[in-house]
This record gives sequence, C-alpha cells and structure tokens, in this order.
Amino acid sequence: MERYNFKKIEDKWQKFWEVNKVFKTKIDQNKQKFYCLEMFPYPSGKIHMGHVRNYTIGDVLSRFKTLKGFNVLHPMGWDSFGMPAENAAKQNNQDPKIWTENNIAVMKKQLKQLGLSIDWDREISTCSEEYYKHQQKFFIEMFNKGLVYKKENYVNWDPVDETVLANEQVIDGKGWRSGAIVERKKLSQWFFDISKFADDLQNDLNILDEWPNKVKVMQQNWIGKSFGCEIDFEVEGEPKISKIKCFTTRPDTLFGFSFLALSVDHPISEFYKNDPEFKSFKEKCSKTGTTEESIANAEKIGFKTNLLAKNPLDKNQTVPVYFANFVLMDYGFGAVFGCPAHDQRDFDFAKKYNLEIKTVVKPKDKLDNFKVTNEAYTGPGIIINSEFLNNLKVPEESITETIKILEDKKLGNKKINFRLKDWGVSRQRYWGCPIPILYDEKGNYIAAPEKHLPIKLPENINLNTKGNPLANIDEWKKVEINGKTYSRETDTLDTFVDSSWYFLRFCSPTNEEKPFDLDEINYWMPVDQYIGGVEHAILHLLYSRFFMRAIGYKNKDINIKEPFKGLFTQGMVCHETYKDNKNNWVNPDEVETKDGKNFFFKSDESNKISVGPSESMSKSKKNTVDPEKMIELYGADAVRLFILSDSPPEKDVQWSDTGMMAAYKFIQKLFSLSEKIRVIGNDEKKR
Amino acid sequence: MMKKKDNYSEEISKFTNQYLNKIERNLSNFQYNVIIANIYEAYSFYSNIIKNNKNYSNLVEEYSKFLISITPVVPHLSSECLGQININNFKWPQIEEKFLIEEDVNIVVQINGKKRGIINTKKDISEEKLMKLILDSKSFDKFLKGNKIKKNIYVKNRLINFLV
Repeated sequence: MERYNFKKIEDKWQKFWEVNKVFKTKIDQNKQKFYCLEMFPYPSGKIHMGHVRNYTIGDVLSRFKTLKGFNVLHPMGWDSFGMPAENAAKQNNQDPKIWTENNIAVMKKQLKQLGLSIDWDREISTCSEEYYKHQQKFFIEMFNKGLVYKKENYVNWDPVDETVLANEQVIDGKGWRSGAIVERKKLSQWFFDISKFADDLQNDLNILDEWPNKVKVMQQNWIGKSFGCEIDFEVEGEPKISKIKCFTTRPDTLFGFSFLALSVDHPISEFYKNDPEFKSFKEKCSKTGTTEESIANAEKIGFKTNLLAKNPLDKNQTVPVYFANFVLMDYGFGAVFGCPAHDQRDFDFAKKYNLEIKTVVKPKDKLDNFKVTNEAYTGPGIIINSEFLNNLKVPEESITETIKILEDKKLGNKKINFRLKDWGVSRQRYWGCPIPILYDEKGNYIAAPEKHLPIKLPENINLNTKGNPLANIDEWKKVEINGKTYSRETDTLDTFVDSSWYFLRFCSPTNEEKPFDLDEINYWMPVDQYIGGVEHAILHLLYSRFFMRAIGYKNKDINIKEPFKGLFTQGMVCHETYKDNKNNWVNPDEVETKDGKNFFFKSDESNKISVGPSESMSKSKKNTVDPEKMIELYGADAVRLFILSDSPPEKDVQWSDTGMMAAYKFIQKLFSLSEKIRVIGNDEKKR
Repeated sequence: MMKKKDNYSEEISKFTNQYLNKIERNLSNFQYNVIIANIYEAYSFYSNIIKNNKNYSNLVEEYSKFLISITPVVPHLSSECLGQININNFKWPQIEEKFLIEEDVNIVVQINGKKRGIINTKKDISEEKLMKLILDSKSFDKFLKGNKIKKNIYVKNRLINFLV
C-alpha cells in the first residue's frame, strides 16, 4: 500500500483552504457566533513550540465549533511594535519596520504550514498606520473624557543607555542591556486612569465564571483592594506642622507604634529642600528601584527629622518621624506609621535605627509574654499589650474594632485603598505608536487636532542616539498650526496599549473610518474563548478589561464590559537542557545518545555532554526545537497530534523525540486503516 | 461466496456513538490529551473489526463519522481520507442516543464477607460512585450503621465487600 505522503497532501489542502477561502467569516444572524482567539504573537523571527501549542489548541476548538454549526471567527495578527525590533535594528543597522515585516512574512508562512483554520483576510499588524491611527483617536477620546493625565513619576533610569526601563527590564537592580545600576528618576509622563475602574475591575471578576480561578486570584491581588483606615497623627517639634495623615491596613497594631515614616516627596520635604544632608539622603534613595521587589530587597534607610508624632490612642506616647526610602508617594498619602513587631520592612528599619520593637499580637498558642525577636510576626492571633484592644482576634475582629474606636473618637476614618496604580503609558522609544499630543512654546499641551492625524512615525531615522530617537528629529517634532509653532510629544505608547483592543479590530479590520464597526462588535464580541500563556494573566488581561470600560465610559452605544468570556491558559513546552564540559548550553540538535544514559556530541563521540533538568524551551538555554523542521520531517498533523497528546493542555508538556516519532507513525497507520476500510467498502459496492 | 446482504454490525455503531459522545465531551472541556487517547482507542477498534477483511453495511458510514471527529486535530489527513470516500461537506455527526444506554449489572454487596444483598446499577460504575449509591440507598443501613467502614474490596461489575 502507498505510504501517506504528508507533504503533498498537506500542501494540497492548505492550498485548497486558501484558494476557496474556506475560513472566511462574516456576520450571519441565523447562526450562533463563536469568537475564538489566541493571543497574537510578537513577530520575533520564527514561530516557536509555545506558539505551536497555543495555536493548535485554538485551532482544535475553532474547527470543532465550526463542525458543530457555529459561525466561528478565528483571526490572527501581529503585536508588532516593541523593543526587540528597535534593538535588532540598532545592532544590524536595519529599519525596524523592515525587520518586523520580514519576520511577519516568515512566521505567517510557518503558521500556514500548521494548517490553522484562520481567516487571513482579517490579519492585522499593530505597527501599521492603518492600526495605530485608530489608537491615536482612542487616546484623544480618552483624553477628552478625562481618563488620561500627565504627572511626574519615578521611572527606572538606565544611566548608561540614558533610557527608561520597564520593571521587567531591571534584573537584580541592573539594566538588562547595559548592566548599569538602575536609578530612580522623575519624569513627566502620560497615565491612563485605570484606578477609576479599580472597584469595578475587581467586582466583575465574579462574573467571569469561565476563567481559571488562579488568574482571577492573581488579578484580585494585583488590584489589591484593602480596607484600612486613614489616621491623623498629631505632631510636635520643628517645623511647625499640626498633623500628618497616614493610611494603614493595620490600625489594630497602633500600640506597637515606634516611628512614623514619610516619602522623600512628601509635602513636608519642602522644609528640608535646602538641607545638604537631606539632599544627599534623597540622592541615595534614588538608587532604590521603583518595583515592589526592589523596594523590599533594598537596604532600608532613613533621615531623622526633629518632629515627634503622637499615638492617637495614647497621646502620652511620642515617636520620631523619619523620611524613608521604602515609602512611596503614590501609596496611601506617602506616610506610614511603623510597627516593627508586625511588619518586616518596619522591623528591618527599627533594627537599623535602634527603635523600640513592641509586640502587640501573639499567635493563639503562645502566652501573653510572647515577644517578637528575630523577624516580624504577621500572622493571625490575639491582641496583647494594647489596653482596650487586648484580646481581640487578629485579623477578623481587631481591624474593624479599632477602626470603629478611631471613628468614634474622630481620630480616623475607614478607607478603601487599592494597590493598583494608574497605568503609565509613556515610553521614551521610537518603535511604538506616537502619542497625539502637541505642546505650545510655553509647554502647555493640547490634543493633536483631527486634521493632523494620524501622526505618522518617521521612517529611516538614526536609532543610535542616546535616549529617545524621536526627540532628536527636530523637523518631525515641529508643527505649525494657524501660524503658531507646536512641538510634538516624542513619547510613544506602551505596547500593552496596542494589545488592549486588537480583539475589537479583528471584528472589522479594514474599516478605514472607525476602529471598529458597532454592528460587527455587537455581533462578535465578547471573545468566547481566549487562549494564551499564564504570563499574561495580570497586565494584558487587566489592561484589556480596562480598555473596554474606558471605551464604554460616557458612551451609551457600547454595552460590552468584559472582553473575554472564557479564558484558557496553556502550559509551556519543556525540553531537557544540555551542557558541554565548559558549562555552555548545547542545542539538542548537536546531541546524541545510544543508551539514553550517556550523551555526547554528534560530531565528536568522545566529547561528553551533561543532561540538565527539563525546562521551558528558551533561546538562552538553547533547549529549543524548531517547529518548521519538525513539520518538514513529520508533517503538520503529526506535530499537532504530538503537541496535544502527552499532557493536559493547561499543564507543561515535555518534548520528546520518541513521542514525535510515535505521532508520525500513527498518522501513517491511520491513513492505511482508512485506505483499507475504503477498499473493503468499495468491494462491497461492486458486488 | 456472496456475503449476506444485511450484515449490519451493532457493535460498530455502538462503539462509534459512544466514542463520539466521549470525544465531544472532551473537546468541550479542553481535555485534549484525552481526545488523543480516544482516537488511539478508536483506531484499535476499527483495526480489529477489519482484521478478516469482512465488510459490514454500516462500516464505512460509521468510520466516516470517526474521520470527521478527528478533523480538529489532524485536518489534512482527515480531509484527504474523507475526500477519498467522497465526503466533502460535513458537519459534526449526530449522536444516536440509543447506543449510549449502558447495560445494567447486578453487583453483590457483602459485609464482612457475608452476602447482604444485590444492587442494580450501570455497567462499569466506579468504586466511588458505587459506594455513594449504596450508602444513599440506605438499604444496607442496618448492617453498616454504627460501624466504621475500614476497608472495601471491589470486583468491577460483580461484587463489593465492606470490612467493618
């Protein structure tokens, strides 16, 4: 019997699907719709096995839903703005646009080879003018609705590259490219007012019953709604200030109060601005990064003022007031009260400055003489050493009871606080969507007038500049409107903005006038099943949920709040890691084994290789398997079959050559079985 | 020799429908690794059926349903094989409910090795479900009540013995 020629047959069907536009979708009111979306890729060069798994899972679902009679929308596009293009372009002296477009061409061909049921007529690319021009309009719409504002904010500053780094580009306190120690620097930046929707974003997690619980918990923690209390602390000493307002989630530990800490940007710092010691302290603080992690890990340092704060529950008790590097202005009021016994940060600080550590909570199973000594005790228990608060259960009684007492005595108020901060969208980069704002000669800003849109990204510019390349092109920056000279904003938008509404664009990808057609989104939205990696569980999903609300804000036509009805997060593709005797990573392609125990170089049997643990495939560890090569060797169907077979889709899957081979053989066997059954059936008809 | 005209195989239809039921459920719940196991199982079944090259009036029709069901996973192969038997436009096969009804079995219930009764239930019931059924039925309460079940031994579709 004839062997199954997968190459010929896969090619034949892929052509058939393409020529006949089998996967083309349009509105059909007689059919139930199903919008299946996989997180679109960043065009980094080639598709990797993670993509293969992600898109195979989505394709299985799309094809199944189509067979079940649904009108399925299954689109694909490119998240094509971002740093790697800019970096690659810098290194190779190539235009980011050309680099990106070349990658898209390669990856599109590879995705087609996988036999995905995608409506390619809906393909979009976020770096195209046709896409980002609508995004600029969104920005202006949000600006006019008061959801965009500008403020000074700390950024991670790489002093060598003279550029701003995202939190994830700061590794162990150093710039990921330059290796320079990252500093804190204040820059005036654009923000989206995401905190306006914080409560809504948190509450509506409850209606997302087709989302994995772990993702909802992660979002909930990120939004971080906490009940607490704002308390006015009376102060005495110099300078003459009557009160300092603090926010705390642990008012129940007030009797453990031993210092009060202020952010270096707290209004009180005005009194110290000419003090050389304070100035050098502030300088030192700027060496601490802005991420929670870097703040937690940094050495706690303080600057003692001449102020003394009174405990509102016991006015006889006064404690020193410090400026401290671990208090930031954008949490609470930039002032916290320190209770070293029950907060690790406060504990570290107290140890360093020899402040009192007063235990006021004991674990249930400990005696009243329990004392915190080596580290803060943050667990549940019973209040002790706190006069009228004694014996309250921590946390279920103690916090609400204390707030009640403070409110009764008019010393404080219950307050809800969110951990979620507003979304800083300014990036000092070239390869992104230009922010459509103009500045007059006095520095006042206006939204770019309609007829000046879109603001196109200039092409063929010099990228090897310090800082933002756009800031160096004077002829691009300068604009004249009615004889007045304006200067363009040179910041571009965070690429997370690009991916916060692309699912809407897929509904009417060629509409020139509008970002989306209302009828189209009313039919297709929400996305019925969204599929992607859990690494996007927080930011991307939260930003998309915010964007949907921002679009619907003050707009009666939009009734969609949640963009993704169902969410599925697939696991990673893992592979053994290999190292040579010099501890360098070795690609699986170069490795061979005869007994499955001893590994050596294919090119040199005497050159031994040590096998490390299986880890998610990554270029840096060289433990990748190239999908294109696998499709070439075994065919798309075999690769699809294998990538689904060994592990539940939500768990990690181990790549195995033998598994891949078995899938290939099974495809052959299935074909031969089908042939046999066909022949048997034909024989019957002939008789 | 002529084959019998009406050589319909209930076994094939029954397997195929039960298979479709399973794979549809697994496709709807992202149990995609289980789908692959379902497909392997179906492959073995049909391979066995045609061992002696014997045809059945419902073989090609039922097998084509299997081919349709694997389209989401291996679209090229299934499109090709379906094309070979002139099936070019297809929908997800309708499952015939009558084939899903599972046979009942009578399971002997023993307590400390003594037969105390019989319980009628679906074939291939899991131990967990059977336990629940027995406890919920309350028919054995007079033997079980007040006693702690230390251990139980289950012989699938036949017997369960409680050690109390």
